[in-house]
Amino acid sequence: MKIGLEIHVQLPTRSKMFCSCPAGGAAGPNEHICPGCMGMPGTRPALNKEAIILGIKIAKLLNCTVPETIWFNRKIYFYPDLCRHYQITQYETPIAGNGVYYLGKKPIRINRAHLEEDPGVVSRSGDGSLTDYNRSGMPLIEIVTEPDIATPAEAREFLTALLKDIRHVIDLPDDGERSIRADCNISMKDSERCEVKNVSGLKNVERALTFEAVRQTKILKAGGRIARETRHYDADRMVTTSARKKEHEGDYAYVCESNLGKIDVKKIMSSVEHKESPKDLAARLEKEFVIDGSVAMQIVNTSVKLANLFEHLAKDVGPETSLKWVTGAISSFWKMLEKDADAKIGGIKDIIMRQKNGEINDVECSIMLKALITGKDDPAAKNDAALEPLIKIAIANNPSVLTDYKKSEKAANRIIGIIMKETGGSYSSSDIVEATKKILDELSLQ
Amino acid sequence: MDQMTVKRVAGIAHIDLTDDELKAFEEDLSDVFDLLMILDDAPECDSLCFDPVGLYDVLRDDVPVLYENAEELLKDMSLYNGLVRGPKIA
Amino acid sequence: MNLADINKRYNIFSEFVPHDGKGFTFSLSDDMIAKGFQATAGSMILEGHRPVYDSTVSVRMRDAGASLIGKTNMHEFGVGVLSVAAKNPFDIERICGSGAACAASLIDDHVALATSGWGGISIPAAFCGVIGLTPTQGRVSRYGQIDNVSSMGPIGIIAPNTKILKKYLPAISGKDVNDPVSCSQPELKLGKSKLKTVAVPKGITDNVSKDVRKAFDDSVEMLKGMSVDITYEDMPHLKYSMAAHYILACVEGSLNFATYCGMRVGQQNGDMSLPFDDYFTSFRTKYFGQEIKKSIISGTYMTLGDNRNELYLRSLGIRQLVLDDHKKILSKYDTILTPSMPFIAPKSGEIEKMGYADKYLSGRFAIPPVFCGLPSISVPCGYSGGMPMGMQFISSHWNEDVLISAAEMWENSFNIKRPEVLL
Repeated sequence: MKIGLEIHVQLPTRSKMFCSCPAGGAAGPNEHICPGCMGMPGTRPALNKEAIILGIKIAKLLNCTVPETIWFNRKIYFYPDLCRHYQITQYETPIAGNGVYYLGKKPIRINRAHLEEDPGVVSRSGDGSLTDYNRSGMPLIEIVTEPDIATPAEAREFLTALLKDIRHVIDLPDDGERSIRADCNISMKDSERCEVKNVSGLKNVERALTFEAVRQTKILKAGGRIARETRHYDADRMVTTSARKKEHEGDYAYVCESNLGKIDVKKIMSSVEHKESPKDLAARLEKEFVIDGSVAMQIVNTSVKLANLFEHLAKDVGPETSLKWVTGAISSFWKMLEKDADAKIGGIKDIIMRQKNGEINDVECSIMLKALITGKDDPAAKNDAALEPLIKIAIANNPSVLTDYKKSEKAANRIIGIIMKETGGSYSSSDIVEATKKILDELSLQ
Repeated sequence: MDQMTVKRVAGIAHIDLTDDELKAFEEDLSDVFDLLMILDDAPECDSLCFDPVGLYDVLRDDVPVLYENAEELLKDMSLYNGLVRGPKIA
Repeated sequence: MNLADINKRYNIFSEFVPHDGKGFTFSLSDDMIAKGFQATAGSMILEGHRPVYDSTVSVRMRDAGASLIGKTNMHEFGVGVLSVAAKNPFDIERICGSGAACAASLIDDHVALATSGWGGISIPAAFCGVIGLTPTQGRVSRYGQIDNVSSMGPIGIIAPNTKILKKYLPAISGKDVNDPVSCSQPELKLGKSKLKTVAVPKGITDNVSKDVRKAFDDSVEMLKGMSVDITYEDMPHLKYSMAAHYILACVEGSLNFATYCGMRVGQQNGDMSLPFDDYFTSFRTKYFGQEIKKSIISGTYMTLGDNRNELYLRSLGIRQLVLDDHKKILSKYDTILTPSMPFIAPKSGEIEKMGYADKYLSGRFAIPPVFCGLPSISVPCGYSGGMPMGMQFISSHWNEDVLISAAEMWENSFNIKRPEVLL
C-alpha cells in the first residue's frame, strides 16, 4: 500500500494573503470581506509579506530547497466558493521543493510545498448553496508528500508529528479555526490510485484511508480493477464516495500572475529567524547530552519548555541528575509549573544542587520541589503526593520494570521494594502498592 | 481547430454554443490560428516574460484593516442569514 | 450642440451627467469605476453593476480639479481591434474605435481616459484625429479598472491637445498601494527631454493603404525639416508580436472573465437549483457577446495540456525577444516611429467584410508597444478625404517625457483639424 498526502495548513497571519481584511475571528458570516477578497472586478492583489516568511520557515522545517525567486500563478476552477473562479497559487516556483521529513527514523519525502489562497466556505442548502467568504483569501501552504507512507495509521502518526512541528515553528495556535485539511492519495500494490479530496482533521484522514484500503482490497480480491478517480469523504457516514467528476476537470490553466511580479525570496530569507522544531530539539538533546532518544522525545512531547528546563539544569547539575528530576518530580507537577517555570527555575536548581551535593536525600528533594512548585508547605506536600514522583523516578531508573510489568504484574514488586526502602516507613505499604500499580498501569497504556 | 474541439473547449470554459455559432467560431478561430503558425519559425526563448516591466518585491506588511462597507458590498447579492446564495453543489 | 444631442448623434456615452462642457472635464471608458456610475465594460453580463468603491484614476482626476461628465462606450471588455462602439466625429458613417476618442475630439479641454490592452488608445486616437498617450505599464494605477488583459494595457489619456495631456498625466500617475504594479515606477518627470533621433522600422509601411503611406512619409520628411535624425532599422522579431499578443491577451482575458458566472457581480439570481456548472454556463452563454466568447475559447484552448508549453509559455518567450528588439533600438534613439493604423477609419459595412484575423492585424502598429509594456503616443499626421490619420512614437519604459515633448513639437508645426460639430 502506498499513501501520499497533500496537506493544507492555514498560515497564522493577521491579515489575509492578498488584501488587508483580518484573517479569522469574524463574529458572523461575510463580515471580514472587501472588494478584493470578494473578487470584485478592478481590484488587484497585494501580497502579504508574512505569508512568504511563514512559507520559508516551513520550507526549512521540511529540509526543502527554497528558490531564489518566486512568483504566483492563477489556476482556474469554477465553484461557488471561489470568488474570481481562479485561485492564486504557485506552479513553477513553489516556496519549497525536494525535502524530507523524518518520522522517527523513517524518511517521508516531500515533493513540494506551495503558497496559495483559501476559498470561502460553501455548504449545501435546500435547492442551492450558501457561501461565507470570510475565509476567502486566507493564506494556505499546501505540502505535497511522495507516496512514502505505508499505512493509514502511519499517515495519522505522520500528520500528528508534522503538525506539532509546524505549530511550533510558525506559532500556529491550536484554536480549531485553522484546521488541517488533506487530500489523500492511496494505491494498493500494482494498482491505480484514488484521491480522497478535502478530508478535515487527523482522525478523518486515518478513517478515510482505512475505508479506502478495505474497499480497494475487497475489489482486488474479487478480481476487480481499481478505477483511477477522485473521491469524497463523508465524515458522518465514515465512507468515501465517488466524486463523479466531469471529464474536463483535470484541465487546469496555470497562468503567471503578472499583478504580483516576482519576489526575491533570498533577500527575505536572510532576515528570517529559524526556530528549532520539537523533533530537531529532541534529536539535539539526544546527541548533546547522550540520553535515550525516546526519553528525549518524551520530554519534548510533554513540552518544549520542559526540554528547555532540562537543558538548563543539565548544564549546571549534569545531564544524569537533570534527567532524573525532570522526568520525575518536575514532570509530575509540570502542569502547575508550566506557567511560571522561568521564575522558579533558580529555586529548582538550588534544591537539586543540594540533593546532588548530598545535603538532602531524594525524598526530601522531592518534597521540597513539590512545595516550591505547588506553593504548599512541606508537611502537606509530604502527605499527599510526594510518593508519585518517587515512584516515577524509580521506574525511570529501572526501565526494564515497565516491559516486565506488561507481562506480569509481579514486576511491580521491584519498585515497591525500592520505595519502601527509600521512604523508611513514612507511607503505609498498601499506599505504596496501590500508587505503584496505578502509575505502572498508566505508563503501560502510553 | 475543428468544430469538435471548439465545442469541447467551450464546454471547459462554461459556454454553450449554438450550431450557427459553432460554425462561425470554427471559421474565425481557424483564421486566427493560421496567423499563429508564424511562431513555428520564431527562435526559441525560455524567458518567462509574464510581466514586461519587471515588477519586483512589492509586498505588504501584515496589518489587518477592517473594510467598513462589507454590508454595502453585498447589496446586489442574494443572501440568506448573511450567507451568499448560489447554485447547487455536488 | 449640447451634450445630450452630441451623445445621440455619436453614441459616445453609456451614462453621462448634464454638463455644458466648459472647464476641465473628463470621462472614463466604461471599464473604469466611478462610484455612483454603472460600470459594465461594455458587457451585458455586467449590466446593473454599480460598484461600491471608486477607481484610483477617478479619485485622482477629481482631486486635480476635473469634473467627470460620463462613462464612454467601448466594445465588450475592450477585446478586439475595430470597435463599432461609437461614431466617428469626422464622418458618422465611419467607426471611431471608442467613445473615449470621440469625446476627446468633440469636447474642448476634455481628458478621456481609456485602456489599451488591445491597442485601445492609439487606434481610436488615430481614427478620430486626437492625441492618445499609452503610458508605461504600471505608470497609472489600474485599481478600479475592470480586468481585461492583466500583464499589459495601462490606462492612458486621449485628449485634443498636449497642453491638457501634460496637465493631467502627472495627476493620474504615481504609486498606489492598491495596485502593486504601479509601485515599482520611478518618478514621472516632464519637460526634460527633446526629440532628436527617431528610428523607423524597415518596411513598416509595406501593406498599409496608399494615403497612410503618403501621410507617414510626408511626416518623416517634416520631422527631418525640424532637425530630427531619422534612421531606418531592422526589428527582426517584431513580426511575431501579433501572434504572441493574441495568445497572451486571450489567455489572460479567459481567466479574468471567469469571474462572471451569475454570482456576486453583474447579472445574478438565476435558477439556483441548477447544478453549479450548468448555472454558470447559462449566464456566460446568455450574456457574453460573440467576440468575448471567441477570445475565451481561444484563451482556454491555449493553456490546455501541451498547448500551455507550445502556445502560452512560448508567447512569453516571444515577448522577451520583441522587448529586446525595442530596447536595443531605444538605447540608440529617442523614439521609434510607426503609423498608428494601416488605414483611415472604415465604415461599419467594410468591417463586416473583413476576416477575423485581418481585423485583428490592423492593430499591428498599436499593439506591439502595449505588448511590451512600452509607452507610446499617437498624433494626427495627415488627412485623407477629410479623415484623420495618425502616427505613433514609442519610447523606453518610463520615458513618457520624450513622447510628450515629441507630440508638443509636432503640434506646433502640424495643423491639427477639429471636426465640424463641437460641443
